[in-house]
Amino acid sequence: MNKISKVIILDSKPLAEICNPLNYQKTQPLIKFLKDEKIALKIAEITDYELRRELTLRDLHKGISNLNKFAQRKPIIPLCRESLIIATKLWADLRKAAQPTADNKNIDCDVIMVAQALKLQDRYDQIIILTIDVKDLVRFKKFGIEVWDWKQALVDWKYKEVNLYNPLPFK
Amino acid sequence: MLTINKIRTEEHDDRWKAFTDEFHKIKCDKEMENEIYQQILLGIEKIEKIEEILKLDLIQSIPDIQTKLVFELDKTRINVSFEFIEYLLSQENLEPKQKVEEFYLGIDCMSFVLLYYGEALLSLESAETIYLIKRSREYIDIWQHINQSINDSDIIVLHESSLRLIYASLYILEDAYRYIVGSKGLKQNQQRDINFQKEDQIYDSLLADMEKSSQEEWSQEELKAYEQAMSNL
Repeated sequence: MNKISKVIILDSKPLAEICNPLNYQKTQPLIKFLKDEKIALKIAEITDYELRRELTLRDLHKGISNLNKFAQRKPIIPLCRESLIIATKLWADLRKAAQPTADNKNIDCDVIMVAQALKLQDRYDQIIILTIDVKDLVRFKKFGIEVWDWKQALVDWKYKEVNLYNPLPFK
Repeated sequence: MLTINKIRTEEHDDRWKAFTDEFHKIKCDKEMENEIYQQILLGIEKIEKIEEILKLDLIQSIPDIQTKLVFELDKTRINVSFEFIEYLLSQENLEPKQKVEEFYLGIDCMSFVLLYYGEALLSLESAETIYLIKRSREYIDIWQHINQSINDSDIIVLHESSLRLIYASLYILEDAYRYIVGSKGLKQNQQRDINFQKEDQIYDSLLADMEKSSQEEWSQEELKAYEQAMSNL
């Protein structure tokens, strides 16, 4: 077994894809791959909020039910004050470096999700966010967060690989 | 503070000469230059973390004297290069051409650090070092590419290769860091295996839920609304 312990954190779009029953054939093998590779799977509470509000707005009860089932399996990283304080630092750092991930008036869920992910650093050697917004989230690499492209993940499971997003591929 | 001459070797001098001959032609891409600086800073952070672990735990826990010596020697090289990169970064008033020369030398230093560091880790002879061998080979390939670029006077490729070199270096450092943390935390890993049994059960339940949900019938309106919800994420 690989001794490097990994955890995958789902961004909102992959979470929505997994909760979408139409995508079962596409997403089930990926989840099974993560299980076989002993890669933990979690979602940040802020991500649950992001998807849940959209489903609630449209009264999508079946979608909410699927999300509830997912959340009941306890992969949720709770949102706490400590995470929000870390998020404010990340938010400010990115803006000082002129690399914001959202408009200044936006709540910037990405930054909060990353702050929540950082809380897992004591428990896992590698923290990977599974997302479609690779270019935004790769900015957090310097804080120890890796990024896995959702489209890449849907290919990778077939080859039993995790090819993380690299902004400058070698070959 | 170190001077350039202090860390030069004969091999280094030859390479340095080859670089300087070409530097006169370089028009430095500011964005790329900045990127390289940022990556060097990241490298320094990782070296610091590794050093911290080496000082605190790892060397003390290695029973084999020869391996211990390799690590000690490696640590010295890291210190030398670390100081040099620090010197490099402190030079704010250099002419652009000099600056380019300086950071190429910084990259060169990083290369020595990483190769020696990789060697030291390889001496531990464990399965995890396969990662490092692979990374080191990638790294050497890139070096050869750079040398070839010098011969071909292909400055654009040379510049890009340097950035790639830094990325490769960081990956090796990352692997080294994880390996050391891994060695230190074997007992923790065993505990994690036990913990993963719980994770396994979660996955089983999740997969069962997904299968059950996939059999539910959704109306066209519901599916359309779900798509709209997704497009807002």
